[in-house]
Amino acid sequence: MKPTDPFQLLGFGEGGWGLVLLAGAAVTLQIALAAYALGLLIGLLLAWAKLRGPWWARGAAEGYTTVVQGLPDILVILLIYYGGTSAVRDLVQMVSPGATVEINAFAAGVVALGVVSGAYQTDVFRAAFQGIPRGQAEAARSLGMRQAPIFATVLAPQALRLALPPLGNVWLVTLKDSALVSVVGIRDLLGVAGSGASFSRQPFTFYMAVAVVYLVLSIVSGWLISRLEARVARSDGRR
Amino acid sequence: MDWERLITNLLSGFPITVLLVAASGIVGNAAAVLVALARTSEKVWLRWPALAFTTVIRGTPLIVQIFLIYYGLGQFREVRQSFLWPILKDPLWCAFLALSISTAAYSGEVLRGAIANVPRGLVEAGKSVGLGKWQIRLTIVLPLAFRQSLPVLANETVLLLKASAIVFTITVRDIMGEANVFRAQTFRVYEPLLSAAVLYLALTFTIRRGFALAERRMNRWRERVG
Repeated sequence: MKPTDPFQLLGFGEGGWGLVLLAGAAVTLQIALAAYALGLLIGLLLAWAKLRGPWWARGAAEGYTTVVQGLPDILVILLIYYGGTSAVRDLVQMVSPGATVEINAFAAGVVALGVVSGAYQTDVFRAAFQGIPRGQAEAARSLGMRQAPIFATVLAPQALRLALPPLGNVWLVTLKDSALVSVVGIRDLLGVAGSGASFSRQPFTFYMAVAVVYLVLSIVSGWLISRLEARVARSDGRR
Repeated sequence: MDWERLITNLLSGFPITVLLVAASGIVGNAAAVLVALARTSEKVWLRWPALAFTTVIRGTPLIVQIFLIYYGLGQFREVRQSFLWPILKDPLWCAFLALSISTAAYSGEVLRGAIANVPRGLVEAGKSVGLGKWQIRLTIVLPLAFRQSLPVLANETVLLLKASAIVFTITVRDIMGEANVFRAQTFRVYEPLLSAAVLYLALTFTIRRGFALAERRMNRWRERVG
């Protein structure tokens, strides 16, 4: 007779899945954070391409955001996870036939989620830079400032303030999206909970635990984001 | 590569996706009106449960909610013996249920914001000509809030379409489900997934066009002024 008591199942004692779930939650957080950071890089780069880049870079950036934002996240994840890994394998086969590669599932998951997150962050940064009045850069130039300091001390801080609330939203979306990588077999929180659910035959108990963890992460994130926004707004008022 | 089989399979998943998005879009948005009214109500016993509902649904991944409904509820004997079991053991019904609940929460928050943005003067004008509470709500506040939130609801509907793709994880054979089964059976990745991508992009485009048309229609009154 397997245990059915939720506290025993989710606990840290004998037959408890507590430690396994905790490790899964750590994987979830790592994947979400890494993907968000990758998305930040993609977002900044492509926002630059959309605003200042040559025509081909602008076209590529527009195409990327339109396609990725129009597709289901899970489809992009499967495409990059399965398609990307088989493309890398083919490439390695071409360079040195007979060689085999092991592609890190964690890295593939991070890239897939990062590509999705980056598509949203691109438009956040583009809108933020577009939201700064033209006069700001012109005034700085008339004071004799150069391009680089204008960007660093005039444009970037204002853009950051405008981008912060939507960036917080994208983080909450990326955090929840991270649950999707369990579909390709990554041992994140939902992945290990699935094992626990089928082993114990108590799926409600395990998925409820997952939901609670995500809810706590979302609420804590939301609280941190609003504190950050308040801080930035305050520093703005001092000027 | 058997293109004929791929296309037939994907096209048999197409109506499932469309049906799922349309049905849960309609039911979910209707429920969203109730959620929004409860969220803006003066009564605490309506406002608090509505806030808890939207916080919980929007704070957890949809895939977890779907697993809870489809795999989770069967854990309880009471559920398995209830009259609802034929519905709750059917993946398509569970998918519809989960997507409707999710839409009710997300659109409910959109409508709440729009209701809060309806100018106070309009409500007071309604009161001053002797309209009742519900008359004001149904003839002034809700139509204005709805029209104002139409562009955001277009976005929410595209998000619903995109979210609907994860129902393949509970064995529903929608576009994504057909593409994934084909991928697993033939070991081909690009053909099924990219073909599915084309279908989803076409649907995204259709939804955006549809809402743009509706928006133009609802704003026609503006063109005649001036």
